[in-house]
Amino acid sequence: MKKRYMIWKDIHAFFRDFRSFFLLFLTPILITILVGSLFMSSGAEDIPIIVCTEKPTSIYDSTISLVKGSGVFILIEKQGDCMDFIDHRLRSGKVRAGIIVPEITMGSTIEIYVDNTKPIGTYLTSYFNLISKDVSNRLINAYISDALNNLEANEYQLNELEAVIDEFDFELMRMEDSISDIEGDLSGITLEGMENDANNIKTFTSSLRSNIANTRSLAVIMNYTDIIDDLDSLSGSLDNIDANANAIINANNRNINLINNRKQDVQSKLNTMKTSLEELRDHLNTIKDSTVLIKAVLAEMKEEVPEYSDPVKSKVIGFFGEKSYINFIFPSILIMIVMWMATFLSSINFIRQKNRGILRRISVSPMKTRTIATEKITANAIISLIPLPFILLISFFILGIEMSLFNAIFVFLAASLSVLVFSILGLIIGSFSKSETTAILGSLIVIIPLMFMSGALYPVEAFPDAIKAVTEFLPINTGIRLVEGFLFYTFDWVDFMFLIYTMVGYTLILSIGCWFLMRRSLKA
Amino acid sequence: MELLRLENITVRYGLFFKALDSVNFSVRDGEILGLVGPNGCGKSTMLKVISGLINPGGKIFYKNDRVHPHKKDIAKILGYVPQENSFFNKLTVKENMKYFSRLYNVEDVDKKIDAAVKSLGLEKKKDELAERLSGGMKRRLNIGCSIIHDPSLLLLDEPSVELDPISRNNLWSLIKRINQFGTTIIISTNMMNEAQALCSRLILLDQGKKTSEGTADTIISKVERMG
Repeated sequence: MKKRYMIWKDIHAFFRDFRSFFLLFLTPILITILVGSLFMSSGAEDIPIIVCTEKPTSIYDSTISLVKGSGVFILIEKQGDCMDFIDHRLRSGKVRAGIIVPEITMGSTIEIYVDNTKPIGTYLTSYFNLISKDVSNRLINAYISDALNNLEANEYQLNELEAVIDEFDFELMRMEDSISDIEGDLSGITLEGMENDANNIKTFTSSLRSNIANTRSLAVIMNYTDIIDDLDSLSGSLDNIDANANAIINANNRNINLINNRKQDVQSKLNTMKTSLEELRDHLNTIKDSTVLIKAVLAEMKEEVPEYSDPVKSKVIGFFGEKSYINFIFPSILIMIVMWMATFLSSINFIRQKNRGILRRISVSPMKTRTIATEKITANAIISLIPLPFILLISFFILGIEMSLFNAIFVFLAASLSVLVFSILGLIIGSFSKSETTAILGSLIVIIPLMFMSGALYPVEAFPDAIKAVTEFLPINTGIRLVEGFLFYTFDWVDFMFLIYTMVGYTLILSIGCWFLMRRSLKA
Repeated sequence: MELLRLENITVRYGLFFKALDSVNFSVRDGEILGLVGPNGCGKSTMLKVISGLINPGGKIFYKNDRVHPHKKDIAKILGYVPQENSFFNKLTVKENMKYFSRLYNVEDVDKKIDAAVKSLGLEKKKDELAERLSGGMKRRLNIGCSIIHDPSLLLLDEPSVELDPISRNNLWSLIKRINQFGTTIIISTNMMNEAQALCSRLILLDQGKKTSEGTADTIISKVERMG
């Protein structure tokens, strides 16, 4: 009975504090909703990625289409200055990967630089390793398509050439026919015939000459002088005819020899041309057959790329060096520890002092609330900072985190800013709370969602869009990026100043909130 | 001479509950004034009003000048001793006193601390952690932390609660000694013997209202008559 009463009173006492009661229900509900909503999306989406080349090629187009088609990335296309462009954006965290497509395609390597400081880096490395075969296949397909297009163009030209050859062949045949005709014509004209004709002419002239001589004798007898003169003139003409007949016989002989020689020459050349044309036609047919064969093979390859083909290789490279993953998760771990310590320590310290009446005593003094707030913030921040050097030493000596003394000093300074912000956050929680239970629940309600939203445990890219937009500006993420910047040299001057201003902004806004709540809390 | 005057002091908690309802009284310079009454009558609330922890309805005058304690305009002359031991357990007696003296920009701190620990009877314990002190010593340290800046007005909220009779007598002596040095003291208590032993005048509060005012003997006899 006594035990039951005590249990009941314990519970009763707990619920008497309205804020504890409220937070007891609100904390798990809010944490469940917040953390649960982070994992509602089916996978990583809208991962900013660069695809860059010095000179666009079919592989570049193919890579772009592959990246676009995946539905996972937000694509930034770039031509020229690839390494500088990717370097700057990867360091500033604006993109998570950069793909450099080489200018020379055959036998080259596509370099995929991945931000390996974030969990998404592991995801991207696995993703690109998994799809590298697919990338290769797509690129081979691009090659095959190119080759097929070229072959088809060649085939068209071959057909045109064949038509020209056919035409030429036809012309040759016509020429051959013409030669045959000439041959026939020439064969009709023989030396003997022409000689006979000439001799007949000569015989005829000789007979005429004899008749003329008889007639002249008669004319002389009869003293017909005119007739004698005419007959002499006729005899002279017959001499000329004889001379011409002899000349014709001689010329004919020469021409026939010449024609025969030319005919043989033309025939020989014609035969050579016909032979060459036949050879050309044979070659053309061989090429056409080969083209058909190659087209068939390529079409088959397009359906299924053979295992041995690897014209383009893809290589996934961790942009920030191939260190063990602990090096990259370390900034997140560090800031998470800092967040837990500073928030809990400040809130619980504050509530203890408040419940012991120490704060009441301080608040009746002439000290202003803002001075009290500043003192409490500073004291709690310093207390939370004390373990930091030890964490850094353990990280270096036991976990093997790669950092120089220079790194360590700046990491300490960067983490100090986070300590400051979370100390103020802790004081806000403490000011709101009336008991340690409320302070613990209040701290949990802030810390757990922040821890998940840091992107250290699960890629930010996999969060729903609304949460993704917020995460970039959360103090935990800003703190992590600052530490990463000093550890991996990941930011330039502008990024650095932006992060510093963000932290200073948080410090100021939270300080005002802290001052306001503390004023109410101290008076209560 | 009148040091402090309170007129129509009203404090509400929520819409309906009045912790103090139009209370009027004055505090004379150099006296020990007792606020007496049963638990929940508004004694501690009245001390919070004077110390500036609560901004009440009504008017407060310090040496005839209107003041607003919640704006800390009389914070320098005030010393407030909460009901619980409100100091750092993990600091020594001296460190605690030094810490609270800093709130008031006390000059010559070390000398003042030495004098204070002597008058508090904590001289031998000044380098001892506060958590190791006895209950009576803790109460004295609790008062010590509030008088290190020599306040003109000291507010004590039930100072001897949970103390054994010897420690209580020692504490009373200390309070009287502080008063003899010229500090005006307002004590809230529900112990009549304490009020009788320490206070020259008493204000009787009941359910947030002032029901009587007078010397300790007058008020005590009135309370006894009421049964």
